[in-house]
Amino acid sequence: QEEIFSDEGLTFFITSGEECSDFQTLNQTIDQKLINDSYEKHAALNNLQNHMDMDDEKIMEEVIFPDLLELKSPEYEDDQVRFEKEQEYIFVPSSSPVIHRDKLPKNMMPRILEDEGFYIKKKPETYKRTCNKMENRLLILEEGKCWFEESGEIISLPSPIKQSWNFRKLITIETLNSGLKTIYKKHGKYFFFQKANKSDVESCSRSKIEGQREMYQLDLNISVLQFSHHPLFNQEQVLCSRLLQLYECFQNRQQQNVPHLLYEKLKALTKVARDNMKINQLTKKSLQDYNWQISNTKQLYDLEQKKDISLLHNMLKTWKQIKVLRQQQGFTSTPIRLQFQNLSYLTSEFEETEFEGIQQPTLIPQLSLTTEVTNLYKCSENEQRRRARIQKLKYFIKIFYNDKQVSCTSASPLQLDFKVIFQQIFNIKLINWPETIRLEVYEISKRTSILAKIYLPVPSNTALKSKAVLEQSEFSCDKLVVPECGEVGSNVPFLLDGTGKEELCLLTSGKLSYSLSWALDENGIPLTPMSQSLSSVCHSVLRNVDARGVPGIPWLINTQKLFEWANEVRIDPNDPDYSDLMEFIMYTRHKGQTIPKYFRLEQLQEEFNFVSEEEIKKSKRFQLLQLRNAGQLDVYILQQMPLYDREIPDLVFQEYESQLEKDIQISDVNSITSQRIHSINFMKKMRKLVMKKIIKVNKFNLSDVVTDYEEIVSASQLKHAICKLVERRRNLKPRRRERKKVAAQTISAGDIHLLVRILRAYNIPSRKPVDAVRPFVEVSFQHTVYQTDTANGSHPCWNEEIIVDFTSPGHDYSFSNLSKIKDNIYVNIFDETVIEKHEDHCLKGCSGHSYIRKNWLGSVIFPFSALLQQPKISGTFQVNIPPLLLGYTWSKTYVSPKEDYNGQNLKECTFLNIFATIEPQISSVISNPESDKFTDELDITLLQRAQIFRKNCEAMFPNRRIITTVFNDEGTSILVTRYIRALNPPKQLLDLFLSDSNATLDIIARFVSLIPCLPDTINEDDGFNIWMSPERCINLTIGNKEEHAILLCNYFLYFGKKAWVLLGTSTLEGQVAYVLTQETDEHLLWNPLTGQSYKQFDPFCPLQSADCLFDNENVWFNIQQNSTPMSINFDNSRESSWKQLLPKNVQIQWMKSEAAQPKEILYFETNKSMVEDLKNRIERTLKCKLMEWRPKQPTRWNRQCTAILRQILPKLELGTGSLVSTEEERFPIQLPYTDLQSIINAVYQTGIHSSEFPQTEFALAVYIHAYPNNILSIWIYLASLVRHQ
Amino acid sequence: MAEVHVIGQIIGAKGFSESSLFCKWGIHTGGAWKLLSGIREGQTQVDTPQLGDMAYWAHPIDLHFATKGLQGWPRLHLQVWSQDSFGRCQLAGYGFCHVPSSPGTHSIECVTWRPLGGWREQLARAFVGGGPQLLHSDVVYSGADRYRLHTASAGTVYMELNLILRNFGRYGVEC
Repeated sequence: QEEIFSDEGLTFFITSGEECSDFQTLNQTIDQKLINDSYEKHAALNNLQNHMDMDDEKIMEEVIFPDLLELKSPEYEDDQVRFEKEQEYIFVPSSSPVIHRDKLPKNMMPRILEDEGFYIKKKPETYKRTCNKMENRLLILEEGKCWFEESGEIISLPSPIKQSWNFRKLITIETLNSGLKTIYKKHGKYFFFQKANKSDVESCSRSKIEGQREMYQLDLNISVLQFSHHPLFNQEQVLCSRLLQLYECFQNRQQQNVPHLLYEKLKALTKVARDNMKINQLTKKSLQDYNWQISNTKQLYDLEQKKDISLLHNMLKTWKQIKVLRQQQGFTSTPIRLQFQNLSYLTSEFEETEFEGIQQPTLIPQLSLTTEVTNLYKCSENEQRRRARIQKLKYFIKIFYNDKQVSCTSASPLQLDFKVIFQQIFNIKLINWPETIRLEVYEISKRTSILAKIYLPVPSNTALKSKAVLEQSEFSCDKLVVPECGEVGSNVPFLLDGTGKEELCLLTSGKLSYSLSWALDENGIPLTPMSQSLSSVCHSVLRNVDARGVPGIPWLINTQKLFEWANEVRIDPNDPDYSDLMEFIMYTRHKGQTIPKYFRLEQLQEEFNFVSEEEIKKSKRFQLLQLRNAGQLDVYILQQMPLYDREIPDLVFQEYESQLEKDIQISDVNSITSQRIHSINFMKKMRKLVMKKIIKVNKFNLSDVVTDYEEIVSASQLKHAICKLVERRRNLKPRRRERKKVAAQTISAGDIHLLVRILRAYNIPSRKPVDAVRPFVEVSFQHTVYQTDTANGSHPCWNEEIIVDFTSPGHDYSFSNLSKIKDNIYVNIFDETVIEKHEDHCLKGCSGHSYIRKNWLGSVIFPFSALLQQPKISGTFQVNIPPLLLGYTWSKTYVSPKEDYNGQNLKECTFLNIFATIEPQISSVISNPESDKFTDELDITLLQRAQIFRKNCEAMFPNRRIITTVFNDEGTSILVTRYIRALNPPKQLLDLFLSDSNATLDIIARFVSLIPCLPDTINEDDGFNIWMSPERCINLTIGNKEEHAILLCNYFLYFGKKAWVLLGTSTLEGQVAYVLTQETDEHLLWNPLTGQSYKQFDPFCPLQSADCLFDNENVWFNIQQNSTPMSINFDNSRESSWKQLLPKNVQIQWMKSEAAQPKEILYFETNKSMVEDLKNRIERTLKCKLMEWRPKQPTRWNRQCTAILRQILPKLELGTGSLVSTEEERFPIQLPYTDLQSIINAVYQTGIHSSEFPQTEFALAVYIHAYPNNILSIWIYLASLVRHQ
Repeated sequence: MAEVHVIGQIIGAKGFSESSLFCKWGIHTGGAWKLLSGIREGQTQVDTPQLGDMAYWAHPIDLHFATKGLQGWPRLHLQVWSQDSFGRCQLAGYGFCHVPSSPGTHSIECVTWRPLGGWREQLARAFVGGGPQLLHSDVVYSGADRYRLHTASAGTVYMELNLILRNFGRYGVEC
């Protein structure tokens, strides 16, 4: 077929240009051949369509369409027809209003609830037309009427009448639905109250009573049920019960005896009136009054009399009716009988008076049950049946306590006199406070049915069993009982005494005799809950409160106070008014329990606890873990916590606790010592408080968090970076490689070292007789000592690197923790001397035939924090040499450590060239604290200006220090300039050198340097500077570096000097504050901590960079290229080199006002005896320590030498002393007094104790020079003496 | 004396209509629980999903509790927030789940919801952002009063928590 097809295609193409006829035939052939093959046909069709333009339409119609498509005209239906059709299905409700009648059920009047007073919400608005349409539509429906409410409208609102269960209450968010509120119920205590009105009193008693489960007992005695009307009554019985009622009423009246009382009153009144009339004493008015009273009483008396008479009449009448009825029916069914007793009263007394109308009752009715009831067989049939039915009836009573059935009487039969005798006693044991006690009377005839419910009143506390009296409770039942034979039924109208005169409709009713009382236990204590009558307690107490002036209700809550009050007032326990209160008190005393004084939130918690709170608290492991979390544990920081308590030594806690104790224990015998401790603690506390007060917002920049974050600031930097890539490589060009900084977290113990390279020393003093010295250097840190080799001569060169291992407390090498290390690095220079051995008893440490001993020459001390703050410490430093080194003299060959030395006499100084660093370098976190709270009375703009200034400066020279605002001891930030103010130094110091001003300055610098310095750690303050005022600093005798500098500056200002506080960094001490003074031709730099002064061009000035100056007017920031003091110009008026915070012309108000009146500091004299005491104490301690440090050898003390030393020492303080002595080694140590430990450390560092030479004798003298305000300078003279051979 | 270690991470969140999500989380415990170490609450970074719609935070959680009872077992409550291009943050969902009580690894999917508010608030939220937030966020983990809330469901937060229990067996809690 395909072949054929292709042929055809071919022919088709060939013949494409020919006439139609050809084409036609061709098509016909196709048709014939492929007529059955649809695919082919389709293809052909496609072919054909390609040539549609040429195609004849006829062909299309004839050939192709008939079997594919069918042409049809569009269906059309006439609109009218369609509309009619639709009408059959579509219902268009009319919009005309509907008549009310149609919408409502038949014969119903529309009921409009709104008119009845219901609140109806506004109905949603609908168009009347729409509404009508809807109504019409609904009416068409079969059940449509249910859509209309009673008023005939469409139901559009929830019915206001029916409370639908799913009605959603609209609660505003603020007010809690009261239904949701829950009442706290204490677990396990069943005794609670639901009476809402007695809140306070009850809560007190509740708390009092609950806590133990107490059983109480109510005794219920149900004796007799007496019907006053019963459906099975016959007429006689109805009358009979009426008679009984009347009789009861009569008896009641008889008891009250109102007429008699009135009669007596009348008698008395008339007598008085008559007497008065006789004597004529009374005025007319009182007479009238009497008359009026008499007539009044008489009226009342008459009324009562009439009542009595009518009562008697009624009784008589009823009795007659009964008699008639008995005769009529021919039998008696009740044993009742009424008899009248005739009494003749004596009325003779008043018969002659005007009150003759008064009659005394003469008939006394007496009711008895003596009539014989007619025998059953003699009665009529009806009566017989009735009596049979009576006997069938049985009654029982269910007892409900707090709506719960607790018991049930046995069923007792109804007796003929319509009594049901139960005579049963029920003991109800209680835990709950009785709320309701209900009895339900049930009747058993054929079915059991409830007859009545009787609610019994809860008896009072005093209703005890012993006193129990039968009480009666009436009940009635409106059950409809149709009479059958002879009886009257109940709730059914009937005719009394066949005459039809009286129509009655009686309900079943009756009386129940019962008694309800609290039981007594075997001890005679009533089993009564206390709370029951507390309201009455409250009342009775309150009555007395007014009388006795005792505070009101609140103390009722507090039983304790209630007792006290009761004791105080001594209320009569027998007074019935107080019986409740006494009972309450007795009860609580009897129980002797305490009120829980806590409120527990999770009251069930205890039940489920595994362990008690104490045990958790005691757990050592948990304590340790928490301490570690709080960062207070140093030792265990990175160690594994022991799993069990037994593995944890108590030692850990002792350390921690001793730390705490140290803080607490500030009392010391010596006032000076205690003051020092106190002030240190005060500072700590103050700092803590201030830190708390300062609201710090640590905003981390992205660069703080992301390490490799480099902000491309400008295009030039970008260009530079690109240029770097393109740059030609120069392999041989030496390049400085930065030391890699290590993140502190990655460091573990042992990774980190301290490198100290001791290069060389200059001008070491040499021994006196022979100009020779064998110096060596010891580096000690954290009680480990490293030693260099011994060199020779006064200018030795060691060039030795000492690697000091160190451990951080708690093995935490984070920067913050490292900065807590307050240890100093001591570099001590010793002279090694060899002493020939002459005796045989050679001890350890002697090599060969000689003893080696070391003599301390001097030391360089720098704090560990200085190493942390700067990458390295390197340079030549002056060695602290004691002012007097006996046996040593200055070397004759002087070598200057620096070539560019300019003529200063440094011959008497020793220098040491060292280099120290931490390997690897620890990257320090420079926190950028932003305190965006400016709380100061100063105008904010100034502080803001200072902040901006600081930021700008830091942007220019990030390495330079600048402080513009600090926090004072109250936590407010103020400008640093406010600290600078001239202050008077102590008078004694001024008097010392009246003539020499320079010496005065020196002594003042010395005084300041003697104030103990508080080592401030870097991270502790988080970059916040808290400075105390200089006055405060003097009073507390403590201060940090800056405070020292400020104080010194202030003293200098007092002398009229131009002085500034200089902030900078020192190679040895890290960040420091110096004082800059302007002399005539040069600037002097004072180190307030040592009291030393340096000239600007002193090459050994440890100040490395001078960054910032401030005085009381302004703050200057160094913007010169170099910052070393030698190379900068201290002329701060030059704008090009010093940037000012405030423009020159700005004058601030407070500056003037405060400058005008400088404050005077009052210094007080140091207590001499205390100084003496302290001196002795130091001496004693040092002696003990020295012996302690020499455990192997005996320590001998040379008294003579000590005495000499004691004489020498005081002279040294003033720097004027010359000594002649032949002892081998001795030197004074001078230091300010902070505490004993620092002194001991300083002595230990000298190593004097390590002398192993036998027969060494020691001498020790301590001298304290006291400056005012407990500022002390301590001199310790230590000597070790070796006898010359 | 029983101890519980909760170690894990908040992996991320999915199914929120907003992108750039972050999450504030916290752990609430009953009175019997005591935090020995670790941080009780935290906040993740803002994550903008690049592929798919899952925002990954991988935020670590590491807590160590001691407890004297089972009451008040730790509950983890989350607040997912979204940050828009102006840097404004708006609430995307609240969620809460109990920390699992059996030891081992648990992957937790915490579904979230956010308060819907009235139509005005919804409209405002759709156009200018913001939206109703809970005044007291403890409603998130305490069921009281929740019935008055109308909420819209939001996405799911995925977490992975590892639990290590200690000494529970001693008190008769088998796990």
